[in-house]
Amino acid sequence: MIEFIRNIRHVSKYESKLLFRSWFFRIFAVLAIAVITVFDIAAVLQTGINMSKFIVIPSNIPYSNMLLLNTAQAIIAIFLASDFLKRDKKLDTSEIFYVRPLSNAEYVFGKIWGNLRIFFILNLIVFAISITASTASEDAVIDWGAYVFYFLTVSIPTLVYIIGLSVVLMLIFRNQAVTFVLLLGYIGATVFYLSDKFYYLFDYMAYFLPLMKSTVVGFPNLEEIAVHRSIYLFAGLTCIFATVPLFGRLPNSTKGHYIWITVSLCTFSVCIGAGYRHVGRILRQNENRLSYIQINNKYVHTPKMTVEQYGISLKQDRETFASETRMTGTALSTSQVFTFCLNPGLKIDAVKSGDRTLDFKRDRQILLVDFGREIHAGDTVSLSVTYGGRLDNSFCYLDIPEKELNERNTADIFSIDKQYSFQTESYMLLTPETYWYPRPGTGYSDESPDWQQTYFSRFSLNVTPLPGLVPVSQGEGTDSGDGSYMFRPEYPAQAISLAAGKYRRKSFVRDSIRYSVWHIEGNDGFYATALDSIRDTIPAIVQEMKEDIERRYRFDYPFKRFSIVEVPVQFSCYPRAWSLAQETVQPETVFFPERGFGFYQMYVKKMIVYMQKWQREDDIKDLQMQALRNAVWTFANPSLDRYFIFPQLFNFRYNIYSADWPVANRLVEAYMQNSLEENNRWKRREEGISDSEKASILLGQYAFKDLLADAEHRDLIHNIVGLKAFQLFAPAELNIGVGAFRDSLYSTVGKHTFRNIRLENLLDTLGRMSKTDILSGLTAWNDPVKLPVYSIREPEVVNVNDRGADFFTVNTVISNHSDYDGIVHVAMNVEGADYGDPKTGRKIMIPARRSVRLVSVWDNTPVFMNINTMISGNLPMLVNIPLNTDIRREVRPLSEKDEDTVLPEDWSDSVPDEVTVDNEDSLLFTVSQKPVTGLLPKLLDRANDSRFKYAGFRWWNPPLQWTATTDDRYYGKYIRSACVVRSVRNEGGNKTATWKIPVPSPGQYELYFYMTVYDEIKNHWQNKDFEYRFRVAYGDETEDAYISLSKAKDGWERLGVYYFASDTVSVTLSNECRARFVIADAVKIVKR
Amino acid sequence: MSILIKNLNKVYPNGNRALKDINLEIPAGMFGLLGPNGAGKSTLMRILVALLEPSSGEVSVFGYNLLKKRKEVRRILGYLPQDFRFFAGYRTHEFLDYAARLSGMTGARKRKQAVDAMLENVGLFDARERYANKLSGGMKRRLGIAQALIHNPKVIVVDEPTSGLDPEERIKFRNLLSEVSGNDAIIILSTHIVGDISSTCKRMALMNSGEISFVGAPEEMLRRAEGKVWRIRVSGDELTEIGNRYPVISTIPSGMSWDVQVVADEVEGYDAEPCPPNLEHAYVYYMENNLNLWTED
Repeated sequence: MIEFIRNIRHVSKYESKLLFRSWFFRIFAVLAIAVITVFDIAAVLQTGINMSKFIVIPSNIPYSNMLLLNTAQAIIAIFLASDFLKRDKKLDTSEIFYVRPLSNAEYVFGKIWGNLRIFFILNLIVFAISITASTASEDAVIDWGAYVFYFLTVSIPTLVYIIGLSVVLMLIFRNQAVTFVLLLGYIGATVFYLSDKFYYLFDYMAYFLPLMKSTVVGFPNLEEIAVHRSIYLFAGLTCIFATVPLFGRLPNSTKGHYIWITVSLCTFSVCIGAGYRHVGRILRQNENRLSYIQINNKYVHTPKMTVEQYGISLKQDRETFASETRMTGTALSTSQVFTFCLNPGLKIDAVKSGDRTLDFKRDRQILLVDFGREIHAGDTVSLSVTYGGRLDNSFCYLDIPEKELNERNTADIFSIDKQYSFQTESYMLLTPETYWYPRPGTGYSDESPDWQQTYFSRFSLNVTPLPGLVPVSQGEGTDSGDGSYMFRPEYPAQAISLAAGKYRRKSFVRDSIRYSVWHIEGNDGFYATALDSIRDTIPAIVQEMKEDIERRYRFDYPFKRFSIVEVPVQFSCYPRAWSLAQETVQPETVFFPERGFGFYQMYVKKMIVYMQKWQREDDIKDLQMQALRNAVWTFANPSLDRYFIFPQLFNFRYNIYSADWPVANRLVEAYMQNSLEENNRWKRREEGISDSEKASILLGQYAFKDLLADAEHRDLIHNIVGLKAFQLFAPAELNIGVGAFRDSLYSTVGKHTFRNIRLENLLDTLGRMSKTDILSGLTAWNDPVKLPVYSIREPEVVNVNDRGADFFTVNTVISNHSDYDGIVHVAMNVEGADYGDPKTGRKIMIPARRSVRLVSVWDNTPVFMNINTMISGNLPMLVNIPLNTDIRREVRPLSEKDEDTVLPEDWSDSVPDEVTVDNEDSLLFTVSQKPVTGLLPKLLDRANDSRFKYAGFRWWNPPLQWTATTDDRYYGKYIRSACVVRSVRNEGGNKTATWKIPVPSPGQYELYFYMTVYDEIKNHWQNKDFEYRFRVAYGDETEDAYISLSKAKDGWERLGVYYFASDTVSVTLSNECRARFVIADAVKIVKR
Repeated sequence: MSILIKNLNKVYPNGNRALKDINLEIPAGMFGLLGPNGAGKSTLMRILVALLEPSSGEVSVFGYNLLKKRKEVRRILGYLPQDFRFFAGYRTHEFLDYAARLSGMTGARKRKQAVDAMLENVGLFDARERYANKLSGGMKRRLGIAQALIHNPKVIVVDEPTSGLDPEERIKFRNLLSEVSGNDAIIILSTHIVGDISSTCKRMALMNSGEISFVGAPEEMLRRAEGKVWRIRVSGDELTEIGNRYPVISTIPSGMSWDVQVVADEVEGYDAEPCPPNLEHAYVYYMENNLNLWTED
């Protein structure tokens, strides 16, 4: 054995020497070290605003370093490892080493170890750099354990595997180029294609595997990591051991081979075993989930009770807890046996009513309590359940599709594990989703919304955490002196949560509300010290922001406390179909990622420095206040829905339910939040159409009921529900005005604080108040919406001088060309107008096959008109029309003409002998399409969302194929769309778009093209005069025509004047252009 | 202590029969293996140093069965392959140190002394820090022999060691080998250059077409060629004819005519004068005769 190791060391020593002397390696090493040094310096100096992720969690520096280095070394190692075999073959001096008495195993292992060793040294150097960089920063803390951990779990298995694999392949193919190409292909496939598929099974580099370490709980997925990395470590060892019998040198003894074949088989078995365990664990979880859902389905209609009083006492243990929960409930129906639900990981010891032990039956999560006698509906009973154990996390989020559950949770290059509860020696977190205490009824059922009946209960919670830990729950925790804490929230709650850790509190009381930050010991450096000098001002700022949000949503904050509780970074949750509230927000509590990870605004100290730099502002107090506002805004920002405190104002106080529509609560929430998507131009350019438009298209195709259960469109649920809410309430708004209807909704809901409201009752009440039949709107939810389509005439603005007084009239016509009535929302932006003026925002009914002339009169200049066509066939949904460009002046009295009037559909004042052909006209507009070939072009040409006809484009990487996209700047009767393609410079281009225009009668015509000139082209740095090239064909004639992009304006641009004798004229636009892309929209001819 | 080869055959996968039933005993001392290119010498050498597996037959090296006890054989083996030009990026002393380590020389200090002494011995001490692949052809050969000798092997196999060396380097090299042969080691010198053997080997074998055609002392071979070497003085016109009839060993111009040395049992039609043979003459004579015999068979 000593000789074995000695020989390996000898060979490795000299192999390392060679490797170290190879220029290839040296260049790689220098580059790797340089890149990582720059990266580390940038990270510790926080050169970018978003760099806080790298530093707030101390282990992220080694983690990111390791990921960067590992990706590079995994590629280089292939080349270097396969190189020794090639070198042995090429160098005639190698044989003098082959004739030495060392064994093949010693030689091969020595060579491989020599390779590994040099990479390990490189790893150490990189770590030394990052440690040095970290010591130089005042905020970066060095997590020594993380360095060791990432080295062991990322670097070693990757290198062992890839080196082993490349050596084996080299021995099989005996050609370095072939081996290299094969392995590069393999790496490419694992990184770009397989990535996190099959639960990270193919992620040999651990590039995607969740490896982020929490400062609170470390790695909650330690076992998963160990198993996953074992797969590759042992696969690598298998390859290395298999190399010995494959190696071309005659062995010292013939039996030697068998030993290594056996060892190789053993390591292979471990590798397969680990792989099986890895995948098996997730498959088992998935199976469990299905089984939990089925069980819920089975019991969803069984008798339930509401629980009015909960008395929970919980004692934390190292990785478990023991609890006794006393409940006082009222039977909802008459029965002897009642159904409760409790996390299936928890074991029930006893169920009692007073001193009497009750029979109970457990079916995984379901607890059936037999009271031994008939309990009549409305009767009140008490019971207590004694249970304990460890929560089964796979029971959580049964409603979330498996794909989404297994999706990677990332932040920049970091992969973060997803945990729904924590039970460790140093930390515990239990949220309602885990069912950590028995709750009446079942959990999620995909068959009946009956499961989802929420009731308000009074809670009292007595917690005995492990020594040194402080519990945080709803209510003020009072220390009983015996190591236990008592929580009694003053309000009835739908559910409660519990966290226990080394929590410390920073708090103040303002206006009888206690605002607290519960941070883990030592984690306050990122929030606190930077604000010392405005300590006295903090309460005022926070209160100001609280009042602001109360005003915005017209609800007051209902709790006596507001706490931000730091939780491990792995704590994860999902948006639900039925509510905006996620598990991160609980009554009076927001669970926020440790050290504000992922939210640079929480790194207040650094934000102040940044702001100082950007704003050249020296008033430090002012900057501190700004930084504080930015940080607090995190909880008031609707786009950060996970931490947005709206549920505190609404969901935890009101509960709107419906036996048929589990989405009831969300519908009202969406309406109250007024969250119809803005016309975000950037998003439209990226995706082609907005999420609300996608939702509108889907609502035209599928019933609302089906969309709610459709996993494929879960990402659009927010928009679908939002649109549906607007549609539901639009008739009522139309009847009594938007403002008045909103007032009645708020007043009705407001009467039901901490009580359930039935949706149908609510709608009935609102219907009576608004004299509208809102309730019948629900019946339409079982079918797809019949989409109206509207055309909008360009508004006309007239400055009317009526007896010396100036007025502005805005006049436009919206025509409904469908057989279905529709409602549009028209908003006006007028200089100096009061936003309370009902004219600035109103709903207008456009009856089927009718037009409505909209006339409004203003004292000041109108600036914009926004027409939101809501659920309709129009795209974009929101059209923004500038009004102050072309204002006519008339001196006349204001007349009756200046009021809205309903006209017939074909009121049209269009010009005769004018023919327009748009790109939406599939008969008259065609494009030449050749399929994209080649892997790389295909990869680059991939559309983000292939579910819809319209796609976005990026001006720097336009699509290779004609791609339909929308924008309110494009021409279109209902759909303002155009086709975009990447341009080429060769003559004639390689793609064309052709419009065939029917000519009504022979004569002289002006030919126009509808232009949209993008700023990116207009302001091109070369400032070249680019042009679009057209070919106009009519009769036997063909003529070329051009439009200069630098001179063109948005709208109709004249191509020329022609005499058309034939019945059709064809206009062809080629993609030959020096600008990056060409847009084909519409052409028209106008008879002279 | 010797090397015994019994019925050794080697057939390459392409069907080429490189060794045909070789039987040979190689005693201690310097042993020359002479033969033309392609005779099978290198194949035999590579089998002897356990780089190649024979198709059949047995080889015993110092009593160890080469097929079963490779490790033991490799322990006592030093080898200088025929081609010895391309090195990995080691310095001269590193190359030697690496070879020493792999041969089981474990003590660092002892090994360093041995490496330095060996470098001194082969005249490379001054070049110890130079990269091995930057050495001249002769220096590389000397480094080659140094690595083969560094661990005091009992069997040293050198394959075509002097090919490509200039005369001075060649003589230096031969002397180096002779020095080593003072020990009880077996040195097998495979070559197609007769001079290498004549000046150093006590015993030799002649190989041709995969077979051993002669085994014995070089003097024995010389004896067989006695009276078979002739010097003839011919005119320029006759030179071509002589070349066609007899194997010509040397042609030296002498005034208007040529002094030609040929190998033949007898010379007819010319005024031929016998001369004393050297090993080269004997080799040519032997090869010619064997070849003839072979063809006649």
